[in-house]
Amino acid sequence: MKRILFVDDEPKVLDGLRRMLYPLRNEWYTEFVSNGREALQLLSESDYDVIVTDVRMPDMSGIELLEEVVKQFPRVVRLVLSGTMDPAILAHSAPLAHRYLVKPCDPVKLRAAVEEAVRLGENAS
Amino acid sequence: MSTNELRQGSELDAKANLRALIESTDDPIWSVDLNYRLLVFNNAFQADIQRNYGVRAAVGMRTEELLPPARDTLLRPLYDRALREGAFRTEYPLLDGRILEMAFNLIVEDGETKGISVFGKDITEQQAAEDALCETENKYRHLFNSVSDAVFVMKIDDDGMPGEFIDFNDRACQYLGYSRQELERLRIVDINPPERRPGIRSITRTVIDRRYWTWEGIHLAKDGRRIPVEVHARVVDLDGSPALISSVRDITERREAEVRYRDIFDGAIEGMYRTGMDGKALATNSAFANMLGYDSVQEYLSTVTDTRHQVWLDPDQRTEYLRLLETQGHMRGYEARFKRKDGAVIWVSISARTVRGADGQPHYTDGFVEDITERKMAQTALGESEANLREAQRLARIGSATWDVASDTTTYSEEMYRIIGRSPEFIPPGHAPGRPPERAKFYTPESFARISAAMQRALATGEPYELDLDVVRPDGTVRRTHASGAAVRDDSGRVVKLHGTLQDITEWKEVQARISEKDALLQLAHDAILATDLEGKIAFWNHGATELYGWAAEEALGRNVNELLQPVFPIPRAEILMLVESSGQWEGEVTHRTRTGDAVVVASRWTLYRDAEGGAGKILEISRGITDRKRADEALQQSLSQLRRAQQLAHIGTSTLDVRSDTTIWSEEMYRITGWEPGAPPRTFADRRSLYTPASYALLENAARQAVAAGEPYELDVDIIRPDGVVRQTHASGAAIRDADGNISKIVGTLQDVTEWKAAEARLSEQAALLQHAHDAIIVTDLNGVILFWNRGAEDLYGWAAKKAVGAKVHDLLRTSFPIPLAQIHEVLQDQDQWEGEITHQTQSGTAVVVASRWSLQRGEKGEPTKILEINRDITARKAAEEELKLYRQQLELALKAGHSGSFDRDIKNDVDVWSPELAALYGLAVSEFGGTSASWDCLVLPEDREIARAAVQEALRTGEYRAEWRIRRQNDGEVRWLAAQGKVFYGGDGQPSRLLGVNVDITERKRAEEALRQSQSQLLMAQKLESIGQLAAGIAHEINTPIQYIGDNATFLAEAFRDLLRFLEPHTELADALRNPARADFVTALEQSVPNVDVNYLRAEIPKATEQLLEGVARVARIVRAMKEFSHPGPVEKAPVDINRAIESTILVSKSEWKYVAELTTDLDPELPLVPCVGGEFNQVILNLIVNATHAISDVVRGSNQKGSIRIGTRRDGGWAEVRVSDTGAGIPEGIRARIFTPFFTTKEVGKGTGQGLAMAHSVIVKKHQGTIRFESETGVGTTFVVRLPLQCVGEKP
Repeated sequence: MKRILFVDDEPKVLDGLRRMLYPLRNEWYTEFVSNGREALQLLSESDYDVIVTDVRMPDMSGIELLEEVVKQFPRVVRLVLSGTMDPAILAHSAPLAHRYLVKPCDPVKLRAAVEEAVRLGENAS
Repeated sequence: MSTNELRQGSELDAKANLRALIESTDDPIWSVDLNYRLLVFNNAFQADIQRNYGVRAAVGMRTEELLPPARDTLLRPLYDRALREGAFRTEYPLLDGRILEMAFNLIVEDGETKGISVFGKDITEQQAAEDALCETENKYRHLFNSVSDAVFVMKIDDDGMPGEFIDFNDRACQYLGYSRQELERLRIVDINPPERRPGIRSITRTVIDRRYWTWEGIHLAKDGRRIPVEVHARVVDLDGSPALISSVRDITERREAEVRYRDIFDGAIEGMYRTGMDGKALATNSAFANMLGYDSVQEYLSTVTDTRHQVWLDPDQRTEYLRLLETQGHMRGYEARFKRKDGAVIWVSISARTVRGADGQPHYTDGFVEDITERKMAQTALGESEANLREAQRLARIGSATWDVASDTTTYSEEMYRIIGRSPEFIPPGHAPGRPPERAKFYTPESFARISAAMQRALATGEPYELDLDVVRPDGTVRRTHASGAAVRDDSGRVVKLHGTLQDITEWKEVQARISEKDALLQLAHDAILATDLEGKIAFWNHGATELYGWAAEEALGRNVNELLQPVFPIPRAEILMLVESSGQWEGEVTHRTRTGDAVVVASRWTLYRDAEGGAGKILEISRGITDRKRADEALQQSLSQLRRAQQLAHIGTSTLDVRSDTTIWSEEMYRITGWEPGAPPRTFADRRSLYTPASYALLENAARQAVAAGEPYELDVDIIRPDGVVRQTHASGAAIRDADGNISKIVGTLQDVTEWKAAEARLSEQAALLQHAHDAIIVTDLNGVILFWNRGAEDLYGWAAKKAVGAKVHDLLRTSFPIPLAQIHEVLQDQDQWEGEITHQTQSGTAVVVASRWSLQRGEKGEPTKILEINRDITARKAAEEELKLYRQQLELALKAGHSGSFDRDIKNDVDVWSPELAALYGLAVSEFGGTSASWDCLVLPEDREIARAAVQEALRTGEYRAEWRIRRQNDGEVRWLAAQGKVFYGGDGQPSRLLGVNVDITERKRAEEALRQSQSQLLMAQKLESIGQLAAGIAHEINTPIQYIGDNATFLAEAFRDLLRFLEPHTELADALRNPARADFVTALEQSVPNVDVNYLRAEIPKATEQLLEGVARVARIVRAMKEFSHPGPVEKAPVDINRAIESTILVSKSEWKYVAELTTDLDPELPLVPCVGGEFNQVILNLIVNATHAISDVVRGSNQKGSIRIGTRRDGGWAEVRVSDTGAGIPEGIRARIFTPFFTTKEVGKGTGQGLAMAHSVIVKKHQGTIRFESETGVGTTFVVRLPLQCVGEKP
């Protein structure tokens, strides 16, 4: 089972995502955390295949998180799910994330992206 | 003798005696028997009968024989009565008029009545007395009862108290209310009230002592009423003992009247008084006291003890008044003057009467007094004005005449007679056309023709006439007159009368002639000569005045000299007038102002010019301008001539003293000098002591002695005293003459009166000092220019000392440069005696000085020119100042030109506009093209702005200056130009605006620049807005996208969940069938298999949550979209009422992505905050900026930590303001930059992060656009609060 970690400061977004992934509950193991530090904590505790994170978050932004993930857990496939198309953020995240998704992202697209990311990870390893 | 005999003897004696007695009496005695026959009678009886009835009485005669029947019938009944009653008495009239009192007795012998005896007693006198008494008594009683007063007669008891009433009249009963019987039983004590009873004794005593007394008392009536009474009581002797007669008057009414009277007295408006004959004030009312200035009656009565001196102005007048009053008994309307308490005098009119006492002497005067001061004053004034009127008429010498057409009679006034020289008896002739022209001889032929024609015309047409006529008096003298006439019409329009006046103007004409003579003379005088009336109206103004003051005669005549020349007098003008009127003239120095406003000091002599009647007419004012130099000039002249005079007066007197005989001879001149009478001179020297002052005498005596002793001559100054007391200074000399033997025989002396000389000397040194000290340079030269006199002022000015200057040639010394050749100046001097001009001199040190120089030619005795007097005033400084001023003016003109400004000078009164060339150029005109009036300027102004321009000028006229901007159409190219105008009003002498001076500047470029700036500012604002919207766009997008994400996710989930649930439900519906149908066993397996596929519990829990969050997400999106719409909606550009709480909420939402990561944002918005007038879009912009700034400030602080700061936004109403506070917990604004944070382009952020426009724009919007305020409170390390305040202007309450 693939393990996917979702990070977003907005709890309702995390709930929504969780529900949306209900059909895949048997295929993917999902964790939902609301801040970067927790995410890093979980990553250090167990292996995750994919991390999907928002960018604009208080305390530790998605960019900073991904920088850490790259540093500490380079094998985790990194996806960005952002509410903004800010070119600056885009620019910053480009080298850090394997895919950049913009909210609102429909479930089909998201699933496809994650599956692709998983495959990527498999291929990489 | 026996006893019987004795008895008989005694009886006989007795009888004889009786007989003798009976015979001796004059009263008739007789007896009759029972038949009334005479038995016995005496001689007196016989005599009576004889006398009365002519019957000789005899014994035995019967009464009818004795008496006539008439008498008999009288007597018989009496006898009958005697027999019947016994003894009795009665009166019995005899025929001869006597009255007898007859006593009838019965003669009884042995118990038997034998006869009747009658004793007659002549009681005629007694009767008469009784009758008289009775009459008197009757009269008395009548009087007693008819008197209106009550009268009591009472005894006086031994204890001195009034006793029983002996008698009282009916009135006594009446007033007391007792019946006669009741009153008889009473005494005085009983009719007095208890409290008065103790006093009765002493009153009685007083009456007894004085025999007569009057007092007021109270009596008690029967019904208990207390009656005020006045009692007059007298002691009389009644049958040997004292008795009181009291007359009592009920004075109730009088008392009431007194009270009423007192009321009237006190309250009267007229002054009333009662004064004793000695002048003591007895009673007054308030009106009288007040009239005399006393505060109260009490004060008057206590202060005024002697009206003669304290009230009457003239005590003698009071005596006169009293005398009149005594003679007449009363007075009406007597006018006198009274003194008030404060000493002021008032006129009063007195109506009074004298009141006399019982002794017939006047006791006091009662008077009514009226204050007639005002009336008197009016009368006096009237009298005065009437007198004035009469006087005026007399002075005007106008005679009048009236001709009645119908009756052809003429009446003349008194003055008319006088004018035509006829006596009042003369009957004026008629004027009817047919009559012989007697009037012709009143006039000269020519005048007669004219007056006749005028009168005919007046008669025919009613036309009034006025003409000058020559009137011929009977004595042949001709008088010039001025005649006027007017017609009087009746109702039908016919002329019924002619009124004419005639005024003798002969003197006037002569005077006029003299005046024009004098006029000519006066014109020639150099001095300024004016004639004014007493008020100062100028009637004459000569050429000298024109020269001195600058006003032409036409301008000055009729004006008031005080206005025209604005004189400043050394003493008040009124005092001068008084002096002039009393002594005829006044001299003094006056400062006048010339036409140009310069001050001139004049020596002025005023004289009073009276007209022919001697009435004050005009004041002649002769003035000579005397500035310092003139004064010096004159002074010099004066002293010079005084000097000459002194020299002329060098008379010398001589005296010769013969030493041996000690006699002196004086010359004529000596007498003249000393003032002694020609004749014998004072013989000895000692006699002449009185000639000298003590000091001088001592000196002279000493000198003379020396001369006598040693022959030494002497010469000294002595002061002599003339007989009239005047002291003269003299110069005395003396020398000794020796005889042949060498002895001194004579002393010859001289005396010279040098008083004037001395005075002149003194004056001269005074003048010299004056001249020396005058500031101006004063130089006197001879005709060749050789300096004779050089004053201190000249030394100071030119640097040459007097020693050096005197003797030198002036124009060489000073290197004079003249404006015209010196020769010409000399010509002018010869011609006019003076010259003035500006000359340049060189001082000793070589500096040039410009002087205002006045030259005056001095002439000798014969009028030949002798010297030139030059007075110079240094005006170099003034000149320099003038030059500087000119330069300054030029510079100013240049400056104006450079600044594209033009100036104008408008004469407001005459509406003349003078423009500088620059100003005309501004308007696109040449100066000549400008119309020159305010109207021609007005049409150059753009029509839309004309009101502004006109209003500006009005403003200036009101407040003194104006500032305004308006557009004009430039005339040369038609372009519209903006002008800024500034003007100031200058006022004339009358305080009214007279000139408007100002400047116009072309500010078109500036205006354009301003416009451009304004435009770019709004563009900037827009750009700002766009920038911030752009800034937010990303954030907003994020804000929206986030909820949309989970909306979609939830919806997807719900769809999935629903599918699952359906799958779940399907078998369950079949279950029911299955349960009913045991055959479907496989169904259970299928069922069991479905369960794991459906996580029912999960669904049960999550579906509701999903739904909820989905809906929430939708709402959130909607909110954001709305907020965005509201925020970015441009809104009206003008201010409109805005709910700022809502605006703030929108802004908060819109900016959420900015702050939500770094801060908690809380709001405290006042729900009662009314709508605030503002430009919504711009307000939102401001709040956004503040929130963004707060967010940045906090993020600086919390970066790196997972803390969040806090932003608090609050609104509240504060009076007329809405206040918005945005607080953050950032780092605070450093002190060093606090002053600059509102500066445009000031920012602390890095490049790319904000342009620094936010706060500058916020400041501009809040302060300039909204007239609000924006400020901040900041504490480093704590945080910052921005406070924005917007005025509410009470738009409306929030619904």
